[in-house]
Amino acid sequence: MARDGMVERDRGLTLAAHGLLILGCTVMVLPVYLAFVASTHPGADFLSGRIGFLPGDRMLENYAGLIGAGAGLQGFPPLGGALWNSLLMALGIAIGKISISILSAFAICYFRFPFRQTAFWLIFITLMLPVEVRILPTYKVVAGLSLLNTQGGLILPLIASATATFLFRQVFMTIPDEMTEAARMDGAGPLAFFWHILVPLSRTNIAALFVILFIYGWNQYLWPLMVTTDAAHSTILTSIQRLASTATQEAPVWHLVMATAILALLPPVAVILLMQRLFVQGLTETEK
Amino acid sequence: MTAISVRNLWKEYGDQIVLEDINLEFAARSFVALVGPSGCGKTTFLRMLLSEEKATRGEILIDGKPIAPEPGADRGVVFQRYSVFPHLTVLGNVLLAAEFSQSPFTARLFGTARRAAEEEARALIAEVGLAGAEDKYPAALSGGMQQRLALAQAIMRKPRILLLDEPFGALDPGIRADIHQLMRRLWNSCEMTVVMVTHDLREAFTLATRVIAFERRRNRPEERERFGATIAKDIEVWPPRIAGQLDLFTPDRDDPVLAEGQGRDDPARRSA
Repeated sequence: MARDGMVERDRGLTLAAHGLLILGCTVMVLPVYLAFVASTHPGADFLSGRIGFLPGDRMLENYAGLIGAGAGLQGFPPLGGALWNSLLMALGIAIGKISISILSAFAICYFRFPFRQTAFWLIFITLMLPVEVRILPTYKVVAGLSLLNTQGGLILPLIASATATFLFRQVFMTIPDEMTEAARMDGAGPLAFFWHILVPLSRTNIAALFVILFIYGWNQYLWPLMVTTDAAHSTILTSIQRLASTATQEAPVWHLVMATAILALLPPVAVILLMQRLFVQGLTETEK
Repeated sequence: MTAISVRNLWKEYGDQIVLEDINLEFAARSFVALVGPSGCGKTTFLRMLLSEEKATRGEILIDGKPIAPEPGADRGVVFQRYSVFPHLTVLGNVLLAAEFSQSPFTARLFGTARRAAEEEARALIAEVGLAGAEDKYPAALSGGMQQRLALAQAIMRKPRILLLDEPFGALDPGIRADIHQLMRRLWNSCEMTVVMVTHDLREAFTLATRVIAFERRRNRPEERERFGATIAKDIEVWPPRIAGQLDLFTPDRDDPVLAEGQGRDDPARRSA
């Protein structure tokens, strides 16, 4: 009997939990779904409010037009270029951050040099200086290097990461000393040790960081908005903003704004889906 | 042939004296077991032989020359755990040693060099009893097999000194007896001097030619910091064992086989 009672109570709890989860999902997903529906209707339907809950028949037209031909408005190149720019920026930031931070963590953990702790804390302190805080001086530096409206200007100021350095340091500290010593006995020099022992051992952490940093890079908004004034160099996120401001002021192309938003959403989703397994391993696995 | 001399060795960490007044002469190809209570500096002594720690005073000579300041190919080591790399297969683990030494930058061998190294590695893997497990990862091996792999990896570079830090401490008695036979065989067949730290006196007397006990002269809590451990007992195992030679008193099936003489169990072959 007691067991029945427990099952019953569990059932109530399960129902409540599922209800809550479904509600949460709806709140999160419904706006995205509505954006998708709006992006498959002709522009006029959006304004008149005749959209409803079912996708329309203009999906191919709207998306193909956006990517291939552009919004058909003055000063809006096709979105293919913006997607490419965003991809380059996100990849550059993710790969750059990982390479630089894994090397600095390697230096901090495995080499004894003067002011080693100072170096670590200096890196750590930069956690308190995100782009938004240092945006004016950084802009001045980038302008001085004549990197405005270039990929380099988009990537370089965001390429160092204290968080990733800290994370790799923690990963390296879990690698037993015995293993380091065994590698030295085997004749591994510092670089060979780094490349053939440390990198393979932190493979899952690198993957998890890549996912996080790719999305971080992809979602950069303020910095690209400042650095790229030329439409040819704009990223997909700044394209949304430019298209939206056109929609409020000139032509009501809200269906295209929605389509751009959906396009901007897809690559991060793809990265997460592809790397899900490694991502979870990298964040939860502690056994080395 | 590698002899180790330790002269007036002291090791201090700040105020704390760990080892004091250690004087030892290890003959070439001897098998020395270090025993003693936990925390008496056995492992510290081993780490000094590895060049992972520096002596505070005194010196360590290998074949009459001061010990190299960095660990190198002349010394191999097996720890109780974590001596093998989890991201490499059995074969990869053993090959790695050859690859690191022969191509320090890329740690990759190609063509005939790789084939030669691979052949050697496979032979060694078979010798330590891991034949058939070449493509397994360490996570799929038992503790005893991991230690066999660690031994193969350490021996791949043909060290002149093999250092063992409680290598078989985590194994159950049956597995331990098996691996003792392997250790005995390796010591007989490879040109090396072995220094082993162990907590198991039985193991020490089973394997070693000489058993050395470390102990603090005074071990009351208030005196502990000021008195390091030193040699309390130094026992030559009798009857003497000599690497590569048959033990006439207690012949063991893992000892080398004599071509001639009393230990030869097939007299017919002598005339043939």
